[in-house]
Amino acid sequence: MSTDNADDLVVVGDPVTVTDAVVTRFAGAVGTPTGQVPATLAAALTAPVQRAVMEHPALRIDLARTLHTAQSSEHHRPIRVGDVLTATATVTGVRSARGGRLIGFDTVLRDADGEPVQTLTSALLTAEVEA
Amino acid sequence: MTGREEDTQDTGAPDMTATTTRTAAPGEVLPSRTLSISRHDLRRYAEASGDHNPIHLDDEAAQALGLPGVVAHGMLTSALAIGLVAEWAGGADRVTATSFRFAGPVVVPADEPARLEVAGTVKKVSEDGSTADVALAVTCGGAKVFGKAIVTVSLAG
Repeated sequence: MSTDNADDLVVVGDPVTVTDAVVTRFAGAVGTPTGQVPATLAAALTAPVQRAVMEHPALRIDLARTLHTAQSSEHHRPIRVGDVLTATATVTGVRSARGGRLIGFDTVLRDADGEPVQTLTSALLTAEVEA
Repeated sequence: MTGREEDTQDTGAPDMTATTTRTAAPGEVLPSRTLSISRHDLRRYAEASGDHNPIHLDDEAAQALGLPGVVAHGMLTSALAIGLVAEWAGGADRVTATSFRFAGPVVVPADEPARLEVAGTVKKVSEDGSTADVALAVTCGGAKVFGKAIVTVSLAG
């Protein structure tokens, strides 16, 4: 995993192989019928880069005082078992809002050929943390 | 699969293996459903998703944020709602886009599951009939869970 220090923070994750085990565990947690890949599996596949964004010192996020306020996804193609996917998260905006900061970031999952598979857009509302 | 779905209307499960085509018209109403979410479900989702934010697991952490107690992951409540639309459309692979705004917390008591009422309506069908936007209205104890909840599905297999 690599990160930079700029305000327009970018975090690139390590490639993740979509295994039966990962799919089965996530499907069980969200009630997806056996044999299907849950539509929101990307949440699990992108968790390490999302955590890296949220824990980046430049953003000063206190996770225990942070709410997830919005989430969108674009599915360029379904995720399949056997896919090797790499997530890249980019902070798209930080602004003051409702007594805290609203932080937006996009996460793109790409396959081994570099083709985008899914694009996630996330918004977090976090209480101010003293620098 | 978790057994948290209740009041399932017998609409006949779609055949996931076949290439099926569904037609939809704006205004069409999806079968309404009740979902329940327990603390066990939250722990299970935390494990599966890697989202271990303590406000979903620990009352004290939730209360420190001004919440009455442990709240469900927005990503879990939306995943369950998306799953209902996917089932209607013919399977998880039919989902092509989602857009959710998390409006109200789903408080999950320690001793009983939270119950969510889910209603869906087809808002828009693409000109060629290949995709549909389904708008979801989800409430918990009468309060809105999502400010906006749209799931776009492909209608052709």
